Order: sequence, then structure tokens, then C-alpha cells
Amino acid sequence: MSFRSSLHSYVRDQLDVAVHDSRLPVRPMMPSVVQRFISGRADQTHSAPVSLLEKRVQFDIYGNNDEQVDDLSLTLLHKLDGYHGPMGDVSIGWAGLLSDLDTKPEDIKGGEVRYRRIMDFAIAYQESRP
Amino acid sequence: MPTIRRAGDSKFYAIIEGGPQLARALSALDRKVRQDIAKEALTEGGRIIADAWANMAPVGAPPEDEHPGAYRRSLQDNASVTARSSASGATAAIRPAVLSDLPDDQQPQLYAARLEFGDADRDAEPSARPAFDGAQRPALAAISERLTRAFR
Repeated sequence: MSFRSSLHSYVRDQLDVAVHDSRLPVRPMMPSVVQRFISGRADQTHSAPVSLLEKRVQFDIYGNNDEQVDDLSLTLLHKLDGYHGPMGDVSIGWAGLLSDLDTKPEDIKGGEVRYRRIMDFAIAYQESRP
Repeated sequence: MPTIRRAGDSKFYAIIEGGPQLARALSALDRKVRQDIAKEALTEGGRIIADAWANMAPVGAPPEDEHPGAYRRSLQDNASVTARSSASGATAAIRPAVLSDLPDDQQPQLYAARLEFGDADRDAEPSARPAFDGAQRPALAAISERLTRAFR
């Protein structure tokens, strides 16, 4: 299981909502989360081998109202910020929130309004657990 | 929970801050000298990030994009890098420049956030954050080198 799928499963299980890669499906269930990988680099260590990879991951928390988005983003913060240890088949060195921001509420067909909070995390991991 | 801002409420730009070490080192200097050194150092670092950002800025194609390459052009060579003194020593803001050949409502600053973060209907095409992540080490090295020269 890759880092991407391990993280996907972890977030889905902890938040108990659908997690989508890159974008929302056409008719998404609300609330929903979108997971996007933004950038990555090998983390340098003092000894020669590079042991950790660091990725910036963007989570979009979608909901029908502000409270729903607040609740889910707070849960994600509690479950992921400061995470250390095994996650599926990978080992997480550390994870931390880099930034978060809201977008303007988006009007969608049928008079509904969709809310979104963007949360960026930096996550350092080892691909295969020893 | 950290402060939350709204994307799209303002023009998009990236910020780098000096941090407490810079503030401490600079506090020993005369105020005017301190401000000048901090601004120069962060401007040098900001230029490195602006160049990396320009190289990663997505280029669209017509008809979807009426001005292909405008976003990249607003960052290449003429990105606005401005520094000011702040509680943390100094803060530099890196912004896409205003392009004189485009109307006000089609300036890259206005749609950069949508490209950077994506939305429900389109993938993100991030460039500012990967540029910041990838170029932060050379940018910090340039800032450090400039400060070392100033303290010699």
C-alpha cells in the first residue's frame, strides 16, 4: 500500500467521510474531503542515506455549512497534526499543519451553498515500514 | 486553531518572514541600518522564490485561456518583491506583477489563487507552494549570505 492510499484510508476512517483524489465527483455526498499532493522532496539527514520523504498535501474539507466544515477540519487537525508512527503500510516520521484558509462559499444548482476549507499539511514518511 | 483567512478575498501573493533569530541579530544594529539590511536580504531571498515560482507557473492554451502565459509573464523578471520591517525582523511579499497590456479584470493576481488551490470542478495547478518548498533552502542561503556580509 502506497503513502497516498495509506493516507487516504486513514483520513477516511478517522473522519468517517468520503475522500476523493484531486477533485470532487459530479454529485458528491456532503460532507466530503479531497486529497491533493502538492509537492515533495527528500528530507536530508546527517548521515548519507535519505531516510524520509516529505510531502505537502492539501486537504479540501467540503460541507453544506460552516459548522460541518469546522467540525471536520478540527477532527483532521487532531488526528493528523503531530502524528508519528505507523499508518497502513508506511511509517510517518512527523506530520504538521502548514496553513489553512477558507474559500468563498460557492453557489451550486438548486439553491445550495457549498463551503470549503483548505488545509495544507507537511508529512514526512518512510515508504516501507521496517 | 490557527487563524483562517479566505482565499479569493484578496489578490494572491506569497510571504516570507525573517523569524526571531533575524529579529535578535538585527536588534543590535541602528534602526535605519537594520531595516535596510533586513529588506535587502529578504528581497534577495524573495527573488529566488519568485524565479522558481515563474518556472512552475502553469501556461494555459486558447480558447480556455485568453492570454496564455500571462501568469508566468507576471512573475518572470518583473515579479513584485517588496520587503518591510516587522515584529519578526522583516517580511517580504512576492506578488505577480500587474501587466500593462491586460485589463484590470484579467490580471493574473486575480485568478492565481484559483489555479493554486483548484476548486470543486478543476484540479489544482499549484506553483507558488512547490516553488516555496523547493527554493526555500537556496533562498535562505542567499539571505544568510547577505546578512553575514552585513555583519562582517
